[in-house]
Amino acid sequence: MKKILAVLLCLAMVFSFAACGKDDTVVVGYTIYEPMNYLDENGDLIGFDTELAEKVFENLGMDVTFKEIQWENKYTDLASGTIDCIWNGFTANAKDDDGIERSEKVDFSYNYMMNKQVVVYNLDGEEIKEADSIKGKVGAAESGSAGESYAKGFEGIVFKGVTKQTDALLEVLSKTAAFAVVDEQLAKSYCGKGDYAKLAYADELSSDAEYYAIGFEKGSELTEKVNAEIVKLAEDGTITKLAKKYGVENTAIVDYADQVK
Amino acid sequence: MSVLEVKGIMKSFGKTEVLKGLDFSLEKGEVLSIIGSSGSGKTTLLRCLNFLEFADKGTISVNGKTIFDGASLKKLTDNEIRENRLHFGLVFQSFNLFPQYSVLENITLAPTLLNRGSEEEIKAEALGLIERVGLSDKINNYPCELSGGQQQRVAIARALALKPDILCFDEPTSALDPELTGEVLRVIRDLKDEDSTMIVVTHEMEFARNVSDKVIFMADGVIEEMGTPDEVFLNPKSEKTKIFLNKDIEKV
Amino acid sequence: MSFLEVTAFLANGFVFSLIIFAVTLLCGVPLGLPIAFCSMSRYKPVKAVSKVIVWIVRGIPLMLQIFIIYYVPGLLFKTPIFSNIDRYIISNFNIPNEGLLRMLLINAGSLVAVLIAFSINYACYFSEIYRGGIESISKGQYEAGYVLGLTKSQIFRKIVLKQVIKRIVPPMSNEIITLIKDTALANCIMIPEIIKQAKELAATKAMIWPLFYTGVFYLLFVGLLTILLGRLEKKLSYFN
Repeated sequence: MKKILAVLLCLAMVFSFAACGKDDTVVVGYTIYEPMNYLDENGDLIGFDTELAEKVFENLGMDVTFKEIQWENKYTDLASGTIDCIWNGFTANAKDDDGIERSEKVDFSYNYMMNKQVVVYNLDGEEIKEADSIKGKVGAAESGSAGESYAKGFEGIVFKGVTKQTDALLEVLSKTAAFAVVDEQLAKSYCGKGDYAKLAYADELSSDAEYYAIGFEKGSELTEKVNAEIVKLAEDGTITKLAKKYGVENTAIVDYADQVK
Repeated sequence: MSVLEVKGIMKSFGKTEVLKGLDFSLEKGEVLSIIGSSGSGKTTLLRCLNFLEFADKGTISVNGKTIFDGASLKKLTDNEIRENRLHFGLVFQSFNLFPQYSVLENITLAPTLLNRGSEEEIKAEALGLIERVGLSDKINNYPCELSGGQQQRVAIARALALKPDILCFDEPTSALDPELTGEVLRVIRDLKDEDSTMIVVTHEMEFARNVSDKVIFMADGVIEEMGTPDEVFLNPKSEKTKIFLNKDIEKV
Repeated sequence: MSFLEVTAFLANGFVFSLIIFAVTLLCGVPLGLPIAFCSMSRYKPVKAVSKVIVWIVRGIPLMLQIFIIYYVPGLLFKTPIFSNIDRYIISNFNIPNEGLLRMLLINAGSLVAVLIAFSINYACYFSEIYRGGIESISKGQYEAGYVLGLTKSQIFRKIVLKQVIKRIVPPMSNEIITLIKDTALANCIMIPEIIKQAKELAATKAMIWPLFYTGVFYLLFVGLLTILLGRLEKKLSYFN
């Protein structure tokens, strides 16, 4: 009985200090997505988004921590306060699978990068060139991603949802799917390299331009603060430097004049 | 003064009246046998004496002290019930030894938990009891390693270890193979020679006749006939007793 | 990555599996007892509440229970307890740059949520095993205790308990072996247990074999458990 009481007391303590969590610590939700958020050789989390987030919150005088999430749970994580923002190559101008614009579900920061969805296939298999050649084939994409919506837009394909964009690539690599729909940024950093040497993507099937932005809970005070900070970091050249470091200088947005009202 | 005085004991289970008002008494050192067909209420009577059931009406007195009064049932606390119970010992039909304890531990468990002396005293006493029931070579064996007759002898020693005023037996040989009943009955007979007061519910007519000082024949929840073995077995007054005894002879 | 490096990487994940395993047993085994007693209570409301709790906890998937515990405080009460634990740790502790301690600290909040979910879930399963064990003890054992003047608590502790333990060891062994495998469910809220670690390698290094290699960890541990539980069973086999 005493032991049970002790355990309960411990739990109560944990809960009480947890209930008064600090406001100046920001939890950033991410999934492994090279070159935005990924692990280096030492297992440290790096990437364009990672470093940009660190800079922004450092300048805002806030502690930042990164929490890996399941992409399909991102809205639940945000709504429950488990994370404070989604900063993970989050396509802003897209609809979810339910047909609702993402911008109706979360508040977006300024667009900070251009992107599109590309179709990745295995060079050992049939070459994929146009929409007809993927008819009747299995296509994988991350559940809840812009890629999922885009993949499902093709007629007559069999859709297979997976938990990570990289899992979608693995599906193609192991030939359990004929093609995968992933972000161009990701495809660029994986396809044709190392273990992914057999993968390629078909430019002809890519989607229209998309934009990455940071997602916050509706009405979050952070949105404006982060926007202002991003503009500053663009002006002092930090974003350009980061973009070069991660090879995204062609798609990173450095001019925010038309977005600032 | 009688060791045991039972007056007007009545007990019902739901609408079924099992005991319809029983009166009897027992002197120190006497052996009372209770006979009767199944369902006559013999076992229920023993269970009432041992507080495993609570009679609805009537009183039970031991050594002149009333330990149970149906009229004031609710006033007994758990502790009082436990103390009152200790006037009686009970040997079950199915032994109910504690399987995880050795013969010796089965006997010393209750005296130890009830602080009935030092560890050595309790052990010495238990070894004496084991010798009396003839199991000295089995003290460290576990119940599952004993025959039914041996288990029942351990159960008797276990009940004796608390030195009850009255030792009750609930059909002590009914669960035994016929060839094993003898050893148990012999132990009970030996106890009589040592002046123990006992109540034995039994189907062993020979035993009831030869060992008891007093025999009660129960039928349908009442004492149909009570007296010395000779009175009950040789000159039964009630028709029911005669029929019961005749049946028993036929069976043999 | 060499074989040894992969093994070490997966071993870090298995530490999480073992933590979940150990804490669930530590909390669930004792917690099951009061639940079992409530389920057998003479007081109808207590019995009913207990039965409903057991019904719910056994009736919905453990994964869903993890989600409920993890998300509901934030969704309904705007108090994300478990990520507040993370926030608290981040702002109050120096987190090392790598290693197991880092993994533990940055996942502390989610880990607490998983531990609570597992403990409650397994306590309910254990309680039903206890109840079955306790109810299987014959009335005669209690009555033998009563006529020897023992208290209810003495009867339970000195007579019934060991017999119950003997009877519940086989079904408990089953649950315990299931538990170590269930720990993989923790990856639904991104606890870096061994399967998650292996999937990480598949995702970032395109190494698929480590996923199957994790089976060796489970097998070795279950082998150890089987031996230990078998010994316990044997130790109790001296009586019936």
